[in-house]
Amino acid sequence: MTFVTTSLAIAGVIAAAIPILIHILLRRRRKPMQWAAMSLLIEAARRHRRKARLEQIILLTVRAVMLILLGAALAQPLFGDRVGVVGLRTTHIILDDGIISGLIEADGRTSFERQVAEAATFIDSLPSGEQVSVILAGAPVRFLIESPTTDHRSAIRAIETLQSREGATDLASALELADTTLDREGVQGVRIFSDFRRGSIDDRRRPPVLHGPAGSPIELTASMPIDEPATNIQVISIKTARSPLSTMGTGDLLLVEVKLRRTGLTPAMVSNVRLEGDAMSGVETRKVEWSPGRTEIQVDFQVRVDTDGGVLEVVIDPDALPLDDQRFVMVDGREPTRVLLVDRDELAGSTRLDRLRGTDWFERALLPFPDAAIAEAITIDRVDPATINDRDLEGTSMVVIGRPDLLPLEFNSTLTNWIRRGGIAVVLPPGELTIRPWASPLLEELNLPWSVSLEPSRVDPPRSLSAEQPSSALTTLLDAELVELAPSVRIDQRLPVTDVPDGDVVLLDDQGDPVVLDAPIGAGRIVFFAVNPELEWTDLPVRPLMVPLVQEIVRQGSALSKRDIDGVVGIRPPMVRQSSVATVTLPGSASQAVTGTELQIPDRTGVVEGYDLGGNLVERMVVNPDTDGGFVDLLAQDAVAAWLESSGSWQFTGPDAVVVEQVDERSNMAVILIAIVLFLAFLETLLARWFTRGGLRSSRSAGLTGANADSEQDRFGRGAAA
Amino acid sequence: MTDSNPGSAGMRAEQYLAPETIGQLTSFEFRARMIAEGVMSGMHRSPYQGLAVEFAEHRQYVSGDDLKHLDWKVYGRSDKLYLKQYQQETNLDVVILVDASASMRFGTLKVKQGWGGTDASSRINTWTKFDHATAIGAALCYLALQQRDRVGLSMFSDGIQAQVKRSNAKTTWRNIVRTLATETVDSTTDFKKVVEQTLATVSNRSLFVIVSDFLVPTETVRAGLARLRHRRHDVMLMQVLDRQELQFNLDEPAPFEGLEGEGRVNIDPRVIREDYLSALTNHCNTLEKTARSLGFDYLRLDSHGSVGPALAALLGRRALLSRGGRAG
Repeated sequence: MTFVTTSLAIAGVIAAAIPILIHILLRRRRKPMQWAAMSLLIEAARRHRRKARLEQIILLTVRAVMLILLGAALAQPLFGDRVGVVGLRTTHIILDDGIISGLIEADGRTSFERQVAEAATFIDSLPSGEQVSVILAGAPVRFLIESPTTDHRSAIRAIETLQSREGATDLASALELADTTLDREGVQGVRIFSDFRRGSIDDRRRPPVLHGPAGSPIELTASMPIDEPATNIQVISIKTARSPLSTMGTGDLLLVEVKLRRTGLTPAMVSNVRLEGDAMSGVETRKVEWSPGRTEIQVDFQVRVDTDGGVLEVVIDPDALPLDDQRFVMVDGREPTRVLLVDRDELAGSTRLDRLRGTDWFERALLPFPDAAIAEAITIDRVDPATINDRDLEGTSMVVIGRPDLLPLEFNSTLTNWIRRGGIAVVLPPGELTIRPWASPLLEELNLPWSVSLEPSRVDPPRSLSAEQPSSALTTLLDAELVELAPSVRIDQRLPVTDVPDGDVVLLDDQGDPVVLDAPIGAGRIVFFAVNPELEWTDLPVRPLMVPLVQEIVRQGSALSKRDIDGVVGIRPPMVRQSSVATVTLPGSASQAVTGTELQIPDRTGVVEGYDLGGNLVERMVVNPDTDGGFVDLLAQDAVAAWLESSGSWQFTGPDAVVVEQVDERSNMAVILIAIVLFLAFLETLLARWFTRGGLRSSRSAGLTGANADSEQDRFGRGAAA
Repeated sequence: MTDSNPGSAGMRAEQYLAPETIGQLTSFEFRARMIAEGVMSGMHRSPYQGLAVEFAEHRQYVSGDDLKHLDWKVYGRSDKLYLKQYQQETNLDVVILVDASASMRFGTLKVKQGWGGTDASSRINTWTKFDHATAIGAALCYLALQQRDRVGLSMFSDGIQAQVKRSNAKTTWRNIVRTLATETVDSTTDFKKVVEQTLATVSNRSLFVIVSDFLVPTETVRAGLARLRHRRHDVMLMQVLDRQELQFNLDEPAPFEGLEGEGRVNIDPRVIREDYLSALTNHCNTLEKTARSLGFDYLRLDSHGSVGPALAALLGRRALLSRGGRAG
């Protein structure tokens, strides 16, 4: 049994000594009475002594028990499986410091600052000896104070230095982290400080069941969900893509597609969108009109980037939640896209079309026109597959592998790492002269489920590409033309591929078999042609579809591969693409060494700089906020309770609730104890009266009289001197 | 104070015999006389009904005398009105023993300052058991002397403290009054020793009137009484107890201290009242049974009450003895 206020329980025990002291003091101060019939008195006292002692003990015991129980009642005892030693009580505080907590309120404070103030007040109200730990629920979730401490002042100081972070709130992970520390001695409790807006809860994840010491229940308390509506506009994405080669003029234009999202209240309003950065000169602005109820808007920019490339930043007007009002993207400089063709060199060059290999047709499709401008945009190199190494991949945006069967087996991991860092690999199936089974090792290295046959098979009768093609990110610009261009392509030979997920198919034949496949691998992609673009296999090389298809593979592939190299707070670190990067400096962190391609998950937005061993800046990366955590929509208490209930039974409290209110129905023992005290007081009164009156006798003895007992008249007439 | 007219205005008989009234008289003599006259006048009803006293002499009838005592034989012979006057034919030796031990100092009846009693009680403005006992003793002596009995007096505690030898001489009364004026002593009561000492000085058959609170072991009383019975004496026990001792109506817990060195004990009177009264009742009943089993008389008196019954009891006993009867 423990107490909410132990000192009151101790005071009750001390107060129990009061009636004993009174009894002793009063005894000493009574004046002695002289008595003649002492022998009779002693005899009577002897008869009564045993009974009197017992009666005194009973009365003193009842009085002492009353005082003890009164003290216990005021101290509010706690019973149950959670019984522990006084002082071993731990509250694990979870602070919602996710991006949603950056919401600015009417008084100018952020939601997080208010939550911190409430948490500080709560910690300050805890009895000394009660331990606290602190978990930050903004991604990445972490302990602020892992080992529970009784130093309340230090804990308050620690939380008062915190600020909102740009990652989404992950309460489920925070509760999982708390669960790892609940198996301690004493009473355990978890208290969440959050406004519980929609951005604080991820419906895709459920909180874990919380277990206390020896499976005992935990005290679970959470803030009341807020009921103050708000509006928030976010920059949720920036996509960049080079202009299609067909539209290229002088210079290099970059298409920038910005998407905005609005959550919470959706009245009519206007937003200003600004595009700027060191990758461009000047600033581009757009005005966006939000109609009532509209929640998403796309804003397009077309800008000329600098030669060296750099950072582009999109900024909107500051609103209630400023943390998601800007976003960064890295854009490459105006250097050409380098494509590496990996194929055997033919010693005797041949221009016969029927003898051109797939890589040759790829090269022709990439440079269809002998245009200087195009040549500036794309450079093509060749390398023999038997001699390729990782240096050949440096600075290469795309490799086209004509003879994957000639690649050294150990090159598969090098190729995979390069793809993961953002490279695009186009794999063409070799012909009948397959040297070795090449597909399985490569697919295993890439962790792809595809099953590729060892040898191609002739298709008789020939097939064509299907008029209806699946939607693919690679062929977004071609979707409208595919209906017309695809059916004219004839297919005479194919390499059967099975176990292909629907999302990986780019082009299908008219029998529904995949012709071109595409899958993301890390930051890069692999594009696999189940039909080699050679005339022996298909007439695709000489069809109108070939050039736009190849160019879109390059353009969109590059755009798609850059999409996931940016870091997101709390989710993924930025991708280090340059292998020479030795150290990086993440926003808000100190410089750290790079081991492998994975950095630690960032908790701040901004630009990441990568340096080589010589201290030279070799790469820049960006980290953006997790806008999925910025939904400011209100949630009802029932909804929050329903989400939390998988972890236990939660009690919601207001900001003024202090420790005493955390106590649940177990504190009703105090009411029972007070009732017992009142009963004992009544009993003590009855007993005291009973003992002094000699029990329940209805009449009192009159005593003896003398033979000269006075009559009523005598007593009246005498007028006694007394 | 010789007015024995029952019709005396403003003064009722009981008032004469009440401690508050007796206490106004500083002189034992006056006090005793008032008591005796009050009893002799018949104002106090005697518990001994049908008491008869032998005819002693005539006196001439005067107007207002009670015709009940008219001697009709003399009137028939002489045609003159004469009243009979009575007296005991047998004279007794009466020995009054008054307890002067420390326990007799107890009293709870407050009297006005200067009302008398003993010097000790006048200092504390309280009518004590000793005051009551000495008043009874004085009145008994006075009454006995009026009956021409030989009267002796002893004051005792753990032995005879003071004594007046039996006599009916004129100086006896003064000696008695002087002896009664002694104060109580700080000692206990040794009843057996007192009886032995008394028997050593009394040889012929006498009536012993013992006035005490008898707060001693009943065995010692029985032993003493048995000795007196053996020597063919008659005894009247007059147990004087204070009203508070009889009723024990105290409310406050207090340490009680014995007057005869019994020590101190903390008592809540409300708690032990029933046990105390039970013990007292047992004690008194034992005393009475002891006395009656030996053919003696026992009378319990409240020191807050009238002294009349004590004298009436003596008169009744004397009458029984003079007829040659025995009590009980």
